[in-house]
Amino acid sequence: MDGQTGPRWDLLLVVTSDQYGSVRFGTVRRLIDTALRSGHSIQVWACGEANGLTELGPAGAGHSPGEGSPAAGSRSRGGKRPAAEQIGALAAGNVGRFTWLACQTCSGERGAGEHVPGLPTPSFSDLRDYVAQAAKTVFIGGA
Amino acid sequence: MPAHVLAVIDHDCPGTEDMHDPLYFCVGLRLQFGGIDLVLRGPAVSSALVAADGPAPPEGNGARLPNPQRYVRSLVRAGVRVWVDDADLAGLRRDGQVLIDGVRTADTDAMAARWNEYEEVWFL
Repeated sequence: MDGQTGPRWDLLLVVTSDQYGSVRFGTVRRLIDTALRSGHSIQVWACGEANGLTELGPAGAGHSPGEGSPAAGSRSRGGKRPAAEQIGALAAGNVGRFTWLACQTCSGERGAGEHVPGLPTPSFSDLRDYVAQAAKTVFIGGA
Repeated sequence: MPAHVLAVIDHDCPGTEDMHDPLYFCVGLRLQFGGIDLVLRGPAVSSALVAADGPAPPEGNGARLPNPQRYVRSLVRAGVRVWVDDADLAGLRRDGQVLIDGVRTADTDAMAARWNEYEEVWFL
C-alpha cells in the first residue's frame, strides 16, 4: 500500500468461492468490465477457492475447482487457466484502474503455485488496508 | 456500544476450513477488524445450535463440534456478540437443541434500523 489516506479505488470486490468466482468467473468478469466501462477503478480480492483463478502451472497439475469441466477455473492446454489469461490481460491493459489481488495467505493454505506475474499477492492481514482505500467494498463470495 | 463492523450471514455454512465458508471468513474478519458483531439469519441459524444433552467438549480433548458450531463458539469466546434471528430459530430448532452459550436472540429485521451505527456492514 502507498500510505494514501483517502479512497484511491472506487470499488473493492471480495470473491471467495467458485459460486461467483471461478466456475462462474463470468459474473466477476462482467462486474469488472462494467466498472471499467463506466470509468471506475476496481480491485478484486481473491480468497479461498477464487484464489486459484490466477494460479499458473503445468497442465493438469495442482487442484482446481473447475477441473473436469469446461469451467474457467480449469487449465487450458498451455497450462494457464482461461481466467488467469483474462485477468492477466485485464491487469496489463488497465494499469491503475484494475488490479487482481491474490491473497497470499489463502495461497499458502491451499498449497497454490505461482500466480500470474505482476499481480499483487497481499497477505490476508492487509485486507483492512485495501478496504480503507476503496470507496466501496462489495463481498460476493461465500458458500 | 456496537462494534465497528457488523457481519450478517443468511445462508448455510458448510463448515469448510477455507475462506469460502462465511463463518471461517468471519473468524478472519474478526482478526482483521477487531470488534465485530455477528447476525445469523435463515439457514445460518443452525450453526449456533447444539444438542442440549450432548457433551460440551473442552478444547483439545478430541471431541470436536462440527466446524460451523466450533467457529460460532470460538467467536463468542473471543468476545464477538452473536445474534440469531428469533423467528428463524423457531422454525429451525429441533427438539433437544439449544443455542451455543453466549448466543443471543433478536428480531434481526428490527436490528437493521441500527446498521447506521456501524462503520461497515458485511454480508458474508
